[in-house]
Amino acid sequence: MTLLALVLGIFTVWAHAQDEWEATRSMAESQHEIVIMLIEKGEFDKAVEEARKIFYLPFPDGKDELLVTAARQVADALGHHDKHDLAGHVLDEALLVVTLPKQQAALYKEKGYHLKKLGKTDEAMACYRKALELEQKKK
Amino acid sequence: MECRVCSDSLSAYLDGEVGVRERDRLALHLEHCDACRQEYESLLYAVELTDSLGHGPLHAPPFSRIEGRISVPSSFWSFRWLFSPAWAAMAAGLLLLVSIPLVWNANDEEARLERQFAQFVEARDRQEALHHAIIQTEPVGWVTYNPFRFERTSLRRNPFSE
Repeated sequence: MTLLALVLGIFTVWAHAQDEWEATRSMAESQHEIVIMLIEKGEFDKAVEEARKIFYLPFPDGKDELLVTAARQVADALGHHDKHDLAGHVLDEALLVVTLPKQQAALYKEKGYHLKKLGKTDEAMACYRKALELEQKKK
Repeated sequence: MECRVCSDSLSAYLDGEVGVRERDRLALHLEHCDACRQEYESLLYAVELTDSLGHGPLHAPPFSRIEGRISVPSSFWSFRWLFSPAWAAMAAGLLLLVSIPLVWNANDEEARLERQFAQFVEARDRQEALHHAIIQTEPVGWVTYNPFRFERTSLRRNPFSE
């Protein structure tokens, strides 16, 4: 009986966590679509504002990789419109919430790329160097 | 006048370096004090004797002669040898030899990093061009991609879609 209660308890907690994650994921999905559409419409500043909201959603541990992908995609989309400076802002926002060195390295590399496109070669190199350092740390 | 004061002033008295009043007081004391007078006379005798010796000629410059006889004990641990020009030149040369490869390596490392970064940017540019080509060919445009349906466009899929 006790074992059954324990199993039920664990299942309830797991189901609750799944529900929470599903709600967060769904919000992030919609928000991401909004951001991309705003970029396509040419409302870049607004898009950056909306992108920021994604980064502060209550993501559970282990899901940060999605944030990195989202940040890179938004930065890419901004880059397509030659908005490399705003792309850098989005990546900076993502860097504030992402904690794993591997993910930070990916973001720094992207930031370096966009800085290079802006002609800020020294800053771009600094970002790239930082990314390599973080990758070393990861190893 | 006390004998102690008189004794202290005798040398100055002999050299005529005391004032008139002091001289008179000393003379008066010496007239009446046998001990002080005796000391005065012996001092006077010594002065007269020294004067009678005269000064001989100096054969060599005295300072250089004395300096030549002064020997400074040489010690390794005093590190005085470090300040000799030969050692300074040698140290500078050694420092230069050591620093050249270091500077060379640092420059080499920097150049390698720059090449690596240039390759990264090049690869990203190619990736961007590919994305651009996909966008052009897709009739619905990449914004409307539903990641559930368009797995092949994973480069652009919404990361939050499952």
